[in-house]
Amino acid sequence: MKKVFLFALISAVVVSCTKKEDDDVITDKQKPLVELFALDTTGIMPGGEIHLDFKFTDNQALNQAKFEIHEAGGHGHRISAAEFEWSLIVDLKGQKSYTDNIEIDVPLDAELGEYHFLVTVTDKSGNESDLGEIDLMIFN
Amino acid sequence: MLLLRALLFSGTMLLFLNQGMSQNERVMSGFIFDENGVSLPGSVIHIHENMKACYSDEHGYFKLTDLKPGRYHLHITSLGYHAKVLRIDLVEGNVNLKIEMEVSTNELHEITVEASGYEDEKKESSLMIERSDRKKLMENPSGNLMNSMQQIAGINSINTGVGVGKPVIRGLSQNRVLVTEGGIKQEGQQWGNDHGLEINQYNIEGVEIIKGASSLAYGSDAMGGVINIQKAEILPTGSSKSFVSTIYKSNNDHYGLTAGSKGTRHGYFFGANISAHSFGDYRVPADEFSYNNNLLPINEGRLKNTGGRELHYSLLAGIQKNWVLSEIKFSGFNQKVGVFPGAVGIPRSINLDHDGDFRNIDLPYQDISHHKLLWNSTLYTRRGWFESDLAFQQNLRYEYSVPHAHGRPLEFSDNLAHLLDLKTYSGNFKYRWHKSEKLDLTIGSQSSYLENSIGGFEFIIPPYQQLNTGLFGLFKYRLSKKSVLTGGLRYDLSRFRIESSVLDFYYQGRFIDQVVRNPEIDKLFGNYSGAIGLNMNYWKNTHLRINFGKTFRVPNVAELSSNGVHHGAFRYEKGDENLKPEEGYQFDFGIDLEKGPIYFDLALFSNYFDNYIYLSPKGEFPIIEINDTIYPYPGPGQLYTYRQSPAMHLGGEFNLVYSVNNNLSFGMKGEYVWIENLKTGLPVSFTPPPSLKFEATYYPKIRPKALQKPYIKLIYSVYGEQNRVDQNEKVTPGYELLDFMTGTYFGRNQNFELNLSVQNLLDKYYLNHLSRYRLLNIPEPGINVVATLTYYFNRMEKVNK
Repeated sequence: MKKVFLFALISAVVVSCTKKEDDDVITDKQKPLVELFALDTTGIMPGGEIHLDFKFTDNQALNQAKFEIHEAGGHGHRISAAEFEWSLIVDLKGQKSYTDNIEIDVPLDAELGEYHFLVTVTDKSGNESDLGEIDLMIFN
Repeated sequence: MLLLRALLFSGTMLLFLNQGMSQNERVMSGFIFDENGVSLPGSVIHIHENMKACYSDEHGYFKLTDLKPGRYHLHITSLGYHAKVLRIDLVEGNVNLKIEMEVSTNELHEITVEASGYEDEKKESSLMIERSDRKKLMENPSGNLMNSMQQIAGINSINTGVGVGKPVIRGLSQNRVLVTEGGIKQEGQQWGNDHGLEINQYNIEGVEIIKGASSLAYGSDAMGGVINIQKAEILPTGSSKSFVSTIYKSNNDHYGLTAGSKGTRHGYFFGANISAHSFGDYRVPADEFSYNNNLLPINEGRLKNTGGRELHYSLLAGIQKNWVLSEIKFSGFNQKVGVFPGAVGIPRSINLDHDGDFRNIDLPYQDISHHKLLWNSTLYTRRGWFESDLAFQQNLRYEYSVPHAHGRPLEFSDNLAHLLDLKTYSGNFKYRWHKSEKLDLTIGSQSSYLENSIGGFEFIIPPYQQLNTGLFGLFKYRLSKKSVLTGGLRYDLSRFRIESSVLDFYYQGRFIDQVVRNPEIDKLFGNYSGAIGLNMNYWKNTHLRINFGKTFRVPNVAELSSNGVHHGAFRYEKGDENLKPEEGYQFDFGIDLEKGPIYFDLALFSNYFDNYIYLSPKGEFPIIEINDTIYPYPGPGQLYTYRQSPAMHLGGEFNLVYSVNNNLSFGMKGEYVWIENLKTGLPVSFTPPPSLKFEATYYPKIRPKALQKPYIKLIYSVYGEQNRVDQNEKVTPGYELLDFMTGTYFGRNQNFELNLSVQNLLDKYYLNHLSRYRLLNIPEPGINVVATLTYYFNRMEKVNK
């Protein structure tokens, strides 16, 4: 009986202790913060420009930002040929804070309507920000 | 295919070989009585090896004739008594037994088990084995089998809505648990979290769950445990059983009908089952949910497009002679179930408006079918039993969605996002040798050939072929009357041939070019597994179990070569062809004891994984590169890649039952799982929260026996907060739930059975950490009244002489 318990105990200790040398590593779990400021969200015309100021911050190191514009129709809505769609990935170079602005030309044939401007930011450890979102109105 | 043919041929050869062996037959007879010497009529006596069964008569007498000389396992079950397993030696001559049964206050002990590789005896197993039968499942049926089994400590389900549930044993899921039926592993794209288990809960007789490392007996994937769908028990000859059962669930207006029939005659048996179900959108205790700072509508509190239809059927036939038991079963599982549109892409109110129908199935939806042909045979040989399990199964998975978010142009009207067609041929052979009273030996092989083809406009996994073979030897040695040593070794080989996939790439509605999504991979994995375990029974009704197992798992196809948006998680996932097999070293400790009115069991496990495979966020967004132009991949979030590192998996569960008297019992169960990736120091996603469940059951004594076995049960469950979360996974707050159940047999001959349960009695708002919709902050179903009414055509069994 005793031998069995000893075996059990030893196995348990061996199993739980071997190769557990680097268990102090705690990966950063804090997600980056996204702040967006659009100059004009309702007065955008085809052929005009969308202007966006943004500020991203992270406790350690920002990695990438992805900007996307698409029509607010969502998943159930079909794309028409002239629908305006745009996206861009920006390298944030490991900075803790990143402030910049971006200007996007709206094509002349862009379909009128409501659009979403979406921004997602990641940090070096793989944390993803909440989705930054601005509703845009393209009209004549 | 060649392999299968060879297997079939050798199986047939053996059949012929055995037919020649006609020898002097043996008789096994005996009396069954209780501790006071009162005979027990209506006890079921069955022989494990050839499933021959009979009932004891009014004097407690039974007789099984026409048996081949040899060693057998006899299972005796009698309602209200401990199940008994006896090893019977019929080598020398006939046997006449006197079997004393011990009263049990706990129904947990009225069963015997068959799932462990060493077969038959729970009390000899070195791992915890739990069982749930049809009656138990029907007391409180949830939307799917796994959900219904969550009342067992250590068992959970990863859900997508109510119809789709994926098995989780001790926090491990996907390819880390294994589901078998008739010894054959079920293959159905287990890698996807939104891929439910294709087993119908309404027409199975029972389920066994082995908790803990089981690679030795089952091969790759059985790291966390095994769920064994039990075969239908073969009735004593001349008897039959049939039933019709209806079910209604108030929460999603679920209507279902199940009918089944089986019988045995002159050494032939048959069975048939059919089950059809239709359900609508389920109700949650909320009118809106908040996602990304937006409040979104839940129309009339019903989650849009979560209804479904199901149709399941099975047919079986077999022969039962004293030298052979052979059964062929065909079964089909068909499910069409809607997916909440908010869960595919960013939820927008425009997609969530009521479509005017709570029962329709609109885009997106899954249409799944799983068909299986199983042929199980057991053949008598002079020294032992030869078993063969042959199977063919086809898993067809159609996932439909609107191609908008994938950059496709309008003209593209096909909504089939994924078609995954997986065909699996399996063959297992086993020879069980009851060498002596003390020693049982088993040698065997398990082989399977998988063939996957794909279709649809999306890409997640490539077409592939996989050939697996494993060889093993197991022993069971009874050190003394009190202790049993079990163990064995196994070696497995697995060859993957993954085809390269080339797909059209569209960007902002334009066709850009064709893109290679995954390279061709040709890999051979080899690995060994082993286990050694001890079961001790030094004190009356107390069993100690100790098991040490080395497990392994071959990386699955998604881990090796996926490259696309996985809708089950709504993120872009990318495989790595250089992954090594996952290996685990698991230590299990268990104790169960019964002393007077108290039953208690406790199981603890610690599991060290080498090369634990996990999805890790890369911090980069997925791109497609064509001719030096970089295109951001349309759709969600960042890229997740499969990586591997050491991991630790610890935890345990317990079960306590106190039977105050024959009418009243209290129970308490608890579980805890802790998993950590030792490289990142992070917990693993989808880890079940700690939980405690309290149960009170009252069995009213109804004087004139109008009602048989009535019960009233209240279950109060407390789930802790799950704050041990992976990166980008949300903390889920704790919650408490109350469930109520009642049921009885009634009517002339007690032919009717009614079960009524109320789930989430207080209509509580809560989030489930293991739900696919948790990400969206969508609560779980609200109050649900479930009623099942069953009519048995011949419940009172014939007692044969």
